[in-house]
Amino acid sequence: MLINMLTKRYGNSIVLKDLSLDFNQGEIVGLIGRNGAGKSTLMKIITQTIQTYEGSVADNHQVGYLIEEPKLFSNKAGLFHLTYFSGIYGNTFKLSEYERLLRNLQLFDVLNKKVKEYSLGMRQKLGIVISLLNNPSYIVLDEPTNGMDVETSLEVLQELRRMADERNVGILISSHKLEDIEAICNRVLFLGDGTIAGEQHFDKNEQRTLTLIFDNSVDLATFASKQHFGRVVHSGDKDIQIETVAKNAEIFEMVNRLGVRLIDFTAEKKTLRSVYMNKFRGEYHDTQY
Amino acid sequence: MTLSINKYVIYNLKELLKNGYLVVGLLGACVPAIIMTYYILNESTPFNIKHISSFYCMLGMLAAVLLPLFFINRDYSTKTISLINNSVQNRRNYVFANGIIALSVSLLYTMTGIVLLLVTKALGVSGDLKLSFLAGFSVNVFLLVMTYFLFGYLLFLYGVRSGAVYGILTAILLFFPNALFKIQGIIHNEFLFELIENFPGYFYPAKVGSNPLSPLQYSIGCLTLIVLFVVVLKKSEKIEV
Repeated sequence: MLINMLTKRYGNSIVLKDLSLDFNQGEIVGLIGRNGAGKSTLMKIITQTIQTYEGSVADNHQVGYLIEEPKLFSNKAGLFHLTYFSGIYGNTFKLSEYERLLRNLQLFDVLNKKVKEYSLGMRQKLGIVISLLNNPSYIVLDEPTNGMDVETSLEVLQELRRMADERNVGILISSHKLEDIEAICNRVLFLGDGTIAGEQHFDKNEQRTLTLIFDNSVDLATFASKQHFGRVVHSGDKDIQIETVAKNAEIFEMVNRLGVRLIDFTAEKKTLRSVYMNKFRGEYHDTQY
Repeated sequence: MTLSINKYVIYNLKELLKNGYLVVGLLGACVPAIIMTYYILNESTPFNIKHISSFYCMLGMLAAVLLPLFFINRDYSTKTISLINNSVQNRRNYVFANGIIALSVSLLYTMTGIVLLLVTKALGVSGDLKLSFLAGFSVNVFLLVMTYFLFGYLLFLYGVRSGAVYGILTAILLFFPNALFKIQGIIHNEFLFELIENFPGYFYPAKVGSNPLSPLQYSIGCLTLIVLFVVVLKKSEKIEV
């Protein structure tokens, strides 16, 4: 799914500006940003529910979606929605094909109940199942675990991961629950000032933030940069903070090679929350991750 | 994912049948005409077959316009339209599909009206029931239903609330023509008189069940229908919900 140089204006206000992104089938990409950053607008453009914009979106894919709150008929049963939104697209809804998913999401036994009797979490789950109808190549989900308890959220997230892994569905997901994003995403995009302000990959080699304090002044920052050791986040007279995937042994070897004495060493795993806070609170004043 | 016009139409026509709105609408159309027939046959009133037709259209046309708008109202008020408005093609297909539903409803009301007129004629109601009258009646019902349906659709597209849309349609179908008729009676300006006479908001509800329209009125009616359809289509292609 390729989105290229997207700009969206509402009157004089520019919501998205020259935004480009790409995500693939089988990949789960998180989208985070402040309220009003343009996440929903971007998702609506990707799903073509907004038609007026500049730039291009590859539109040769089947895209399922749940944006903002689930759109349902309150006087109709859950099963009606699944049958109807398959049927009007020329497909026949086969309950057997979705039984496992519906059971895992605890929707199977309430399918004949009217949606107005559903809790917010159940409506969200039904909205997610609707987004999966008609075999989409991609799905776009805006706050999918909204209104769900911890246990239910986990079930939904596990199902999404399974969709990506087993059915090769590409998923773009936005949420203010950073732990949800962190739990299932391959990478996260930070939306700020109408464009992709940064990107965080969740690699197998997990990145850590190391803080090293020495007994005398040394230009470690230059050394670390030259050695491509990681990204220097902060450099003081006697201390340095580096984001790196290097092992502790490699760190100590570097310190030994410089001939300085290390008096304190802390390693902190970088969480999405810390990255997000740094990004949007501007603690590190950087633009790249 | 392309919206199937056939499937959408079939699903929703079945829905109209299942939820009983179609039957209630037809009863609303037929009951006044049946009561009128009873009085003509038993009370020797001076009314004839054209009065039966007019009484059929009185509430019948309102029902025939409101029935296909049920889906537009439902989809826009619940915002489920956003599950359909996911490509230009699907936006167009949705307009076409709902147009076909309105067309189907207008055909149903035409057929029911013709059957009702033939039955009442056979029962002895006076008046000529010529082929030209029946043809005019059929075309009038089709044009009226489609025109007012598209007008109501346009109101929904511009965000007018359902209560207001139904209120406006009821007013312009049932009361507005009467007011214009009274204005015609008191004005002496021929141009203004002709203007009202050839205004679709007047001639459709006033003449739908009583007379075929003039060639000029049919021309104006067709042009109005085309303009409304194009505006609805263009607005639907761009609308954000």
